[in-house]
Amino acid sequence: MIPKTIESLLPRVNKPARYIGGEVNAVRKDKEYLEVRVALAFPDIYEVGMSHLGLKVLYRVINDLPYAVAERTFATWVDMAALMKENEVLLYSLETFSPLAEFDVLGFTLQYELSYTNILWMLDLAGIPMLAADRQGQYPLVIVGGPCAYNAEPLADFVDLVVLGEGEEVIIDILEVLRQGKALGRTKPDTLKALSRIKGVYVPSFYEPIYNVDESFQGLKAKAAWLPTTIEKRVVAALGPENIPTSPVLPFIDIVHDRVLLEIFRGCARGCRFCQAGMTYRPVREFNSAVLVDAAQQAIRHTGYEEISLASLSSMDHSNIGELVKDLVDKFSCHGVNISLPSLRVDSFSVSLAADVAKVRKSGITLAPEAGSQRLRDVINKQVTAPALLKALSGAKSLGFRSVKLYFMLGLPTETYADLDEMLALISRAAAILPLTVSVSSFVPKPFTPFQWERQFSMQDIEERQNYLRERLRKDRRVKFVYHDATTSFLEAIFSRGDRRLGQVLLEAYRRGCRFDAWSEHFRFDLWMEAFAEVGLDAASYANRERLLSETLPWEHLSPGVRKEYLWQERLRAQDAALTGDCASGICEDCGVCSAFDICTITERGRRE
Amino acid sequence: MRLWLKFSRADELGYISHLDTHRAYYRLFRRAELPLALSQGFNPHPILSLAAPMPLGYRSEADYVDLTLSSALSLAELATRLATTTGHEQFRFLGGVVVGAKAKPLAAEVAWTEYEISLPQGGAVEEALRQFAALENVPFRKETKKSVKQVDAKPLVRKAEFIGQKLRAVLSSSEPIVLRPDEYLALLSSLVQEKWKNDHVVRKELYLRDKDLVTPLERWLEGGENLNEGHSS
Repeated sequence: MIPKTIESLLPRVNKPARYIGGEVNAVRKDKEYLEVRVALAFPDIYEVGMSHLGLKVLYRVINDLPYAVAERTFATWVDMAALMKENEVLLYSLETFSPLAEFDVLGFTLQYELSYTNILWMLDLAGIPMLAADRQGQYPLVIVGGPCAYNAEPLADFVDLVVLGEGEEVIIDILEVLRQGKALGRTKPDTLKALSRIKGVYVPSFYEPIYNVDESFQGLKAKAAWLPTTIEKRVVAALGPENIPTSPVLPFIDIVHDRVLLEIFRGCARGCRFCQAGMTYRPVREFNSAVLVDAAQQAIRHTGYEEISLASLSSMDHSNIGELVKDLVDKFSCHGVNISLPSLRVDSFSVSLAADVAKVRKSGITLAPEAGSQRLRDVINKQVTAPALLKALSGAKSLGFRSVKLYFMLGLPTETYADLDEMLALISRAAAILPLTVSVSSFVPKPFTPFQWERQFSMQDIEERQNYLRERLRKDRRVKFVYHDATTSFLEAIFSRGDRRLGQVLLEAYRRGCRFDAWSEHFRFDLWMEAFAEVGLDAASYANRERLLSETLPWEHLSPGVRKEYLWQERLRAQDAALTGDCASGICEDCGVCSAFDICTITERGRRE
Repeated sequence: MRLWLKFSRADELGYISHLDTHRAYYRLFRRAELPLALSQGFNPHPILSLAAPMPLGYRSEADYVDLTLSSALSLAELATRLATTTGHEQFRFLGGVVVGAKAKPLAAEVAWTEYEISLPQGGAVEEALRQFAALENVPFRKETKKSVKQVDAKPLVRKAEFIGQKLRAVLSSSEPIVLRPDEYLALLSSLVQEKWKNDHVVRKELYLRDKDLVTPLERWLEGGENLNEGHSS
């Protein structure tokens, strides 16, 4: 039952079902029998958070433990948040309407740099002090994980723990320690000490940043000798049925991805040099097709969904993708369930497979050549050629697709206007085949990629390049041109490679009213710039400055297993526009992951040591 | 095989929209593995419709679904399947009837809705009801998205009584003129120059376009297989 205090607000807000819980497959446990309670927090609205696979996986793993529970909470939209403040209603979990302060753990996922202010906001709405130093034992431990955890320094002042890598094993280790700690009545510092011994766990407050006299970052100093100097990620060695959420919570309202998300493998060995996920989720580990078909069947039975989407970094690269798709189609098409392939490779095989599964409506198809010229595609190691793209498009046309969306990135390292001209030429040839939507984002250098040292071009430069393309595409009726705002990419670049001092900027921006930064109607770049000025940090030097090999980077105490030497070597190859092969093809480039973790690539056809 | 099915919705599910409710029933039936008939055509969809939309926030003890199955299924078997499906506590099956294949869509047949409106603080409700009954006609400004017009509210109310702080009324819920509970309350309270604060509104029953107040299940009670309230669990 929804508490009266909350229910009285619902008639006054947009989409009240975001705030009521009670969905099919939501887990409610009697808190009297629980030793540890976890609130899984997603720092964006319900429709976005409920679409996230990681949340579904952790929800299952934690709720499978007899002594623990995981409940969910999301960022409330501004209308509801204002009413909650006004009526002194604290942010609560959807399962039991418990205030978040009641939980032992509050776990945020870091999917995107522009969701950071929402973390502060959610803490604030929950009545929990934002700064970790202000939270003593009575408050939940604030844990963060996810892709942006590979540089969580900008959040270091606010969080108690950072978890690196895949969450399903490390979360159990953490909950076991907390469970013992509660029985022993451990203090917060002792709990953190015990937790810091778990592999994959980083306690920011146990480390201190050191800056040079010129205020550049020198390094991070451990406050005690027993602390690890490098914190390595966690990785699940082999994936099995227990890693698949087969009873996901079924939302009442339409969410972003309202379907079964079936993860078919983790990792990606293609080695695109801009891609953080491609470096940090290594090595490739595939789920077995038989396991996947069985899990899909359970998920459909438990939800009634009409669509299964094959999720991964590059779904066409599953070694048995053709047969897997065929098996799924055979099994489900008579039950009115569609199969969808969200990440297509730029080749004819992918397109024809997509056409096979698109039994219903072949409306559109999305392909990502990423860069316009062959030279630049070689720089980023995106192994796509123009003839292959055009052939794929012709194939798509003959198979009945009616439009195509092409993704490009602007401002990649070494990009010149000659590359943009080649992009325009490619777009023109593609548009002759099918109507296009061309979506252009801006390059954001990410930690633990070969491009982690690169600068982002200035906002003015990016805008000039955007205008250059827009002017030349405006008259082409076959092409719809969309591009990302340069200011948001600038802020992403700042935070993706930021140091601990950015915490002050974050707090200052939050106090000035920044939240939902990923939503253009709420993004206030002016307030962000005021925050930088107030704190006295130079925003542009974070985004637009090239890092030197001799510098210590603010994330160097963390490790996804890929060696720094490998990343640097890849950067040098990028400058020569030299290609590096996919390790699935059999040639090991010694990125370091397999030896660091004593693991190996696992495909359905076998292990590759 | 075509069916009209009656459900009661859990209270909090008043906060999901008509479209979302439609989808929730569809997925409930899929989980129950009912043999759903699909429409022919490019984008097949289930042949399923809800009798009447409801404003957000209202509760419903009378959701009606007009459903077509691809193969015969006894109502007893249907009830058993629904009762063992996750989510059945939220959409509780109350009863159903088999209707003729040529029956009009249920949504087109519903004309009246019975509401129960809680008025915990009371007011001169009985006096207002007396005045309403005594008037020859009750002028009322009906505002819709498109227009404002002056109408007579008198023929839009079939039955009304106030018992135990709860106002029960059967109001017109079909075109050309729909009278919503909030409009009805505002009208009544203005007759006695009061302002009332209502609590929950519960949709208790739907009635068809017949001379007497006949529920969808009652219409098809005679003849054919049926399963009614009390036999479902």
